[in-house]
Amino acid sequence: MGRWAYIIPRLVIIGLIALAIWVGSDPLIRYAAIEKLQNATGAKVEIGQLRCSLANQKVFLKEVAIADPRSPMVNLLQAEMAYFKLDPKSLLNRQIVIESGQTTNLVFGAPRTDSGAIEGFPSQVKPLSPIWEPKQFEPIEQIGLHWIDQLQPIDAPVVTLDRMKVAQVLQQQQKFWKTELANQQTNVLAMQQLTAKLEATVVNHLDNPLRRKYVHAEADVDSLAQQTAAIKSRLAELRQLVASDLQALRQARQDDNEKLRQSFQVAQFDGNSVSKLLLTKLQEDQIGEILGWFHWFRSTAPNPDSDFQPKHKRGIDMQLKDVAPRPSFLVKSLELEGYGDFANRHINFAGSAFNLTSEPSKHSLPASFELRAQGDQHLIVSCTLDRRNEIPVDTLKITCPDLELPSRNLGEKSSMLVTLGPASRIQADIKLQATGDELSGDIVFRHSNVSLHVDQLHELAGGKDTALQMNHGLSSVNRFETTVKLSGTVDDYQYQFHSDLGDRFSGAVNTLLVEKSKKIIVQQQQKLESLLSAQTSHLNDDILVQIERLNQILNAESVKIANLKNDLPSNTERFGKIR
Amino acid sequence: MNFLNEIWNSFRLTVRGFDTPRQLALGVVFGMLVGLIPKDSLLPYAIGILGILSTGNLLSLTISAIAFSYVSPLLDPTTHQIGSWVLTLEPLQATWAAIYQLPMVPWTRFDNTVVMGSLILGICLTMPIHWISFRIFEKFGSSIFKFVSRTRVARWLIGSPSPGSGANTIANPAINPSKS
Repeated sequence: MGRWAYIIPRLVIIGLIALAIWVGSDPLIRYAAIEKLQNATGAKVEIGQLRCSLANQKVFLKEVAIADPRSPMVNLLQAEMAYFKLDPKSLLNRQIVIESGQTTNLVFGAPRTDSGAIEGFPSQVKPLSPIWEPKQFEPIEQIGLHWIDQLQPIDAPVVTLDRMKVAQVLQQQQKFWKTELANQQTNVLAMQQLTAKLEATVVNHLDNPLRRKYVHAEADVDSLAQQTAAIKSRLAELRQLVASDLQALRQARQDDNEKLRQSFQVAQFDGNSVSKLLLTKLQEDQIGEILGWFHWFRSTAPNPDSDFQPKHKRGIDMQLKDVAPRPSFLVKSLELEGYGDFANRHINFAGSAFNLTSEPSKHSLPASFELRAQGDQHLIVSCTLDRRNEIPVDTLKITCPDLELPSRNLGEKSSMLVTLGPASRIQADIKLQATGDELSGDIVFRHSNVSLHVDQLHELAGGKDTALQMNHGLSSVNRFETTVKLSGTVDDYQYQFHSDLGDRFSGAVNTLLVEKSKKIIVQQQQKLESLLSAQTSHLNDDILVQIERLNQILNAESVKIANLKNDLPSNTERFGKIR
Repeated sequence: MNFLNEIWNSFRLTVRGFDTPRQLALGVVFGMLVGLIPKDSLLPYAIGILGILSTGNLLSLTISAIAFSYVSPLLDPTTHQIGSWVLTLEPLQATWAAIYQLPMVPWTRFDNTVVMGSLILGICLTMPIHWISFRIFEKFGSSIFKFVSRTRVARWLIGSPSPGSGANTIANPAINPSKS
């Protein structure tokens, strides 16, 4: 006993220490956890209460707050309560692995009343969400000008009657026939008068050869005969002219119909350019907002390797050969429920986080979140923060199942201004990925319950009247879809979009314009036909009849002239009597 | 009650235990090992328990541990070099890996350069420190005892011997050389 007597009090000491550890395990673990987390993050960590059951591998925390090492007056996260189930196997290997856990009232970015900086730690105060401005692209006014430049006058199919060839030919013909018939009538009348005069002369002075007038009678009769023949010849020409005029009218009608058809074929609105004009500003705003979120998300999510400032560690933990690297702290699965301000929006969220670790480079899976957010908007967010390699790869997928879009103007007032009605809904599928600074992404916006109203339309595009008609046509456009492709970098991004709105819009408007043009063309053609018919009957019924009448008169006059010529004695005969 | 009294007296003797220079030196050695190795490793606590269970003097162990804890960070560059060299020795890689896979062993953080370096340095210093401290306690034991016995803590521990224990004298090697 004497030799080993000393061991009893020593065992008692060890027993007392063990008892103290057992009794004070919760405060000790709380202290150790605070120290460990503070050393890892470089910022203050507060744990209100910690209860630990090592037998069940369960840890319960109350009022947890971890300050943001980048901004000491803000908490990186705080939770009212947290419950963790530890993996006992990993615990034996100096690895704290949370198999599953729950947090309630988790808040990101809550302000602190005191500084979260630890004395002696260098504090790098930088804004959590640096101001980010969306990139400025081509001004909408410029797009409007381009759209107007490529427009063809919308009134092209409206060809007025006075601009038609038929009308012009008709006018020329009417003028010609009026003059010509008047001339011929004058000529025929003059002929009749001369014939009558000559007849009287010949009859009265037939028996008196001494009368001087009688001397020229023969010549006068010959002259009359010649004139009659000339007029008859002219009338014959005129008869032919009537036929050629009818032919000319038919040709003119053909030309006019062709002209009308050509004007009818003009396409007024091109789908792509309409989409560009109407949606560029909307897309720029939406892309700007989404990228603002993405920028905020990337800049605020801490990178443990670069943003945390671990306390100076003694020595280096060597990576032993044939020993797989493993993170000292890993949260495999954690249910989250809380709220926070994200990019100036208050949002309640619930969901899960997976593979959160303080040493992402030592874990095989990237950190990821699956969240449902409910605020002004209902969002389903799935994001991956892959910080395992030197170049971080961040992926963000947001599904916006149903969002009401407030009323807004599309396009631009000096070219075309369209109001998108207030009750329209939007569904968005957003997929963004940033590899380092390189950005890529696809965004699909599906608009439904759309009501479009053309408020202003440039004169070249038809002005108010066309706008009025377009609004009737646009009632059929109640949905459209836009696909956006992103490239470049987050700060210097490029985008391309394609939407079926332009095609739907143009389709509706062009159909309307085509119908309108068709109607106008039919009306014009009817007018043309009516003109043509009137002129044809005028030429056939009036002009030809008049020519025929004049011809008959001339025939009668010709008979008279022939008789006169027969009645006149020859010169020899006449002067023989005198001799 | 008597049993508890015995324990108390034994405890007092253990703490004040200027038993022998050898026991004092042993306490210093264990304290040195505890003090040198960083405390975020399981090793110093395990060595501390060993020290408590050994015949070493607890007071010298405690004082030595505190003293070497202050010295330890100053030796970090050296211990880091030693640890780094040992941990990267090619023939030992398989051994280190095998040891690391054992349960609880990773808590010793032997894969840390400073922990490994401190452990090796401590082990290497064991004999010299023991020899030096033994010589010192042999030569200056009574002076150190006088100095320590004047402190309030020592007076509390050894100043009022419990009745019937017979422990009213201090185990001073200078006074009680038979124990050395």
